[in-house]
Amino acid sequence: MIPMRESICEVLNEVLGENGYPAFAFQDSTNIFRETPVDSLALALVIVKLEERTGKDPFKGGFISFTTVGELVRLYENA
Amino acid sequence: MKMPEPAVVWDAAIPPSPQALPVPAQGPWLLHTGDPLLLNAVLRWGLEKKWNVLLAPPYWPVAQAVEAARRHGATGVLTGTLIDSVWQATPGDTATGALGLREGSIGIFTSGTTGEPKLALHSWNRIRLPGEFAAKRLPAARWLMTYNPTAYAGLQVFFTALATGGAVIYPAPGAEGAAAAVREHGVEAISATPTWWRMLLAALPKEAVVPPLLQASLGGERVDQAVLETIQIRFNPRRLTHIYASTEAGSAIVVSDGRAGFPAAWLEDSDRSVRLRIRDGFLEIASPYRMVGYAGQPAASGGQGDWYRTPDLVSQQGDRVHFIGRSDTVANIGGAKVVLEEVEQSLMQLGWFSDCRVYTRSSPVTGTLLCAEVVPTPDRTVTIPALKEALATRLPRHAQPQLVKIVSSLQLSANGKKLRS
Repeated sequence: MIPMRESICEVLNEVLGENGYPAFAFQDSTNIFRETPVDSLALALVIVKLEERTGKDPFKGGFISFTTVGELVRLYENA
Repeated sequence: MKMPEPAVVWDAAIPPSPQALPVPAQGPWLLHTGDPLLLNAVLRWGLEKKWNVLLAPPYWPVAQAVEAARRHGATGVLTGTLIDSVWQATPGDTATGALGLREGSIGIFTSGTTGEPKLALHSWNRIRLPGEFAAKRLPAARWLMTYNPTAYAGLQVFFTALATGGAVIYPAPGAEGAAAAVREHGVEAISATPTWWRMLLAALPKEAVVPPLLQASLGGERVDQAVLETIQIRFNPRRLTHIYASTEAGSAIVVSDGRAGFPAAWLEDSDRSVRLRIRDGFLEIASPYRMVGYAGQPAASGGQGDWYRTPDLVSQQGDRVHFIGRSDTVANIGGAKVVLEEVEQSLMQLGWFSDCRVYTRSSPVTGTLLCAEVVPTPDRTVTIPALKEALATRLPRHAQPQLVKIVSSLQLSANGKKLRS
């Protein structure tokens, strides 16, 4: 099974690639919105793609705020 | 190898005996069948004997049809095929609401994309009238059925063929079935949604010789100039028509001048049998072909003063009125309004795709996420980054689809329309 962290970083880079940005070396401490070009529209796409890939959607009941890659990984691991 | 499913051919010249149908003289009863020959026998004798019939869509599960029969007070359900039909009484009849099922009405279920399907009641005499007008020009034509045959559009095709002594070809499912029917069954007239036409055009090999059609009709969705011109070139129809009709309003606008939209002179023209006007941006219709009313709801009061507000947004541009989109295909993306049909228009203008579908899904981040499925033309390889880059210069950011999927064909509704969510 692919670890959740790997899936999330792959999908983040897939979405960056679709929008014409180069791949980013995401770390657990990376602040997604400050350090990368991911904005709210791109994040909405990341969530849909992650649901299609992992079957999980931690935001089903509403948006939960987070800033770093590590926080996002934990949301998915606990979903 | 799996053998392809053959098409079913119905011919008006071969009437079945009404005695073959084990139904009571008194209605109302519900028909639920996948056999077009049984459906057409019921329509033929129903029209003559003014039966009281409800038409369940063939794709409904049995339980849904039985439940609808109970809810609307039907005495039973006719199922099976013409040569092996089965009558099943429904126990626990209940009276239906304020507008009951009356003698001589035909009940059509709405698609119910936004909630429970409603039962629209039409009179037999009115529902067949538009077909009788078309009949004069199209003697004994062979029609291709592209719609759900129990929906208003499908019934118009049947009644037109019946009035002309023509035939109806029911193709095997999918684009391949349609293309095979066009090549092999001498189809002379086709009525379909623009999406269905584009699917057929993509499925017909370039070198395939297509005999010219007597009649090509489009309806059910917004018709643009590009699809009209493509059909004109590929099928060279003697008459190319786009039709605005709905289950509720009936057949309302018929345009055959080869231009998208309809003449603005038709608005507010009280000499026309179907009257048209624009109010609050919506097309409104007063039509003699309208339904009697919804089952269980108060009947629309009679007379010519009855205006029906369609869900379609229109705008007058010079001497023409154009359809913009439906109120239920306007998405709210982060507070900005996006008309799904207009985004599709921008995608098609790239010239990369044989068709595309723009739809929405809900998102916890932006409320609504704009999505697109695109079908590239055979000669083109499309990548998502290239597509997004091309759209970036054509559409504002909020109107650019975020989730984009490259597919080989679009999934359509039973009526050949694009699914919107």
